[in-house]
Amino acid sequence: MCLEVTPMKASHPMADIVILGAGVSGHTAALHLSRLLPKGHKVTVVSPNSQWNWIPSNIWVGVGKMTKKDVVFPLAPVYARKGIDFVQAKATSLWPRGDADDPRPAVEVEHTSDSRRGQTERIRYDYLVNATGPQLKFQMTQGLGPHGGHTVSVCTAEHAVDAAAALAETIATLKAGTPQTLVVGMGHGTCTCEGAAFEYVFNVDHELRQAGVRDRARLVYLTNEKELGDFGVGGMTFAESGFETTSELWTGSLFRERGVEAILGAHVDKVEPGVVHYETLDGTRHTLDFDFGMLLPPFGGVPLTAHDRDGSDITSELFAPSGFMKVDADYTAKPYEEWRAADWPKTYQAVGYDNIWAVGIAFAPPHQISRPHKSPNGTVIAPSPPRTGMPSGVMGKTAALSIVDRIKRGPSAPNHEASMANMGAACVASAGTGMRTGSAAAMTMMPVVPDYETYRTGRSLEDTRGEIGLSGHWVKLMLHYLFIHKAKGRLGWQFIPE
Amino acid sequence: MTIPTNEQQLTTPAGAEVADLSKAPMPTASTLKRRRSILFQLTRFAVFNARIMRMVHKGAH
Repeated sequence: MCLEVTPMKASHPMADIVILGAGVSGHTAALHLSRLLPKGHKVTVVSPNSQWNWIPSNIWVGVGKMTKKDVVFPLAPVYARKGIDFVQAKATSLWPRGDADDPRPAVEVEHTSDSRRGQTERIRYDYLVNATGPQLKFQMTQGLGPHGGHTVSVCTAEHAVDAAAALAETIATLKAGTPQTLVVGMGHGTCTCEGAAFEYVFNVDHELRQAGVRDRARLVYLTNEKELGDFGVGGMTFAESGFETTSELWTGSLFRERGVEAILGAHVDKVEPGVVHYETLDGTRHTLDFDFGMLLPPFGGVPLTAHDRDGSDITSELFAPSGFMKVDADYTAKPYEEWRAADWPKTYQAVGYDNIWAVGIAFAPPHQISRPHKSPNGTVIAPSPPRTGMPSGVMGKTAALSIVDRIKRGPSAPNHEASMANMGAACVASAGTGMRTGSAAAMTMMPVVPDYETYRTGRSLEDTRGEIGLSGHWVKLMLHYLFIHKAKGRLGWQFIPE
Repeated sequence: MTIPTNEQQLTTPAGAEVADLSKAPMPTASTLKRRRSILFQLTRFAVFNARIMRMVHKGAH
């Protein structure tokens, strides 16, 4: 492998650091860089959105318990206060070896703000963090999604507002005495973020109960997971009351208690008005009539091309076919039984370039975490690995620390490391709101990527736990306020862990 | 290396479209009460946060 070493030029003693994306990972990287770098270095964030969104709380917007204003805030004032340049634009191409005009690496962007919409420019960088997040690929399933499709989504705050309105209509119909079927889940066999759909279905259940119409509603969770409790991480083993149990039974218990039906191992291939068409792992095809549908889309990498100085296309050097950026992972194709925790990236440095990192959803995972399956018809039904939330923030900080060391200590400074195979995560799936009436299924797992060479069950039984109760709701609410405080860069933000 | 797998418990019976959840354990009345008990849940809140912090330190981020 050829590594393109890009030392700081003598004529540019101060570094230009460009961060693509202002989600959890990109924003975290920007805040830490502005905190740790001496004055004079330039940190620029490029994001097509002018607002930061605490995505986990979109679930509450999606049931009308929060407004859009509660979960977003404008980025520009925060960046102005922190001395970070903000460019409202989407990145379209990378020029990691420079271009015909200038040997410095560059990223081409297209502005998205009202005042400069459509204008393009090339921004030069010494260090680049690709934190572009997901492309929501509703188009992979015909009729899926809120943009011309027949289902709603909670992926963005705007989507969640529409979802809440659709849910309110359904509840009104139920109150009028007409039974309704509500389906919540995954809109494609390769979706990720099953936790979000799980959380939404139980919030919907809670709302239906609060409205006194639960008995007239059929609530269905439609998922690509082969087993309940898989969550795209292959499920978990918990130690409870002196026994080992599975996240499948733990999750199944909540479904049974709340009367939520589950359709497992499903690949949705078409949505028509009021009808979901799907195939299950046994190869059979089915339809489900629905009145309200919230189905999440599959994710892909944000489309970016890469070019050599002469303009020739080198996209495949930097990106996997999925559009995610290749980093220091082991991408060798091998069977599930040979997957290792060590396959997962540690530094998130891009393949072949020591001044580019890809963090959060933007990096290409070496393989799924959950065992992938195919139906007899050859349809892939395999949850993609989640890499949002806590791990995303940690990766953003890790890239920032590597850049800071490189700038302060020179090009030989080693990268910081944070493998998902050595990183814990908490997943708090709200199952209803209210300081006294709320509930949540709260899980911790350590590590996210199971390590069967270190732990018999793949994860630490001490730290991999699941519990259901009111305290989970408090945790979720606390995280909402804490992370918005942190993202606003307010007093003590750096002491709040990622 | 053999990756251990747990046998699937909650399967979909042949011909059915939804999973059979009858093997999933139902919470007892005391479990449901504990899930809502303010005092008990305050303890769980502290324990859960302590666990998150322990994971953060173990992961050395």
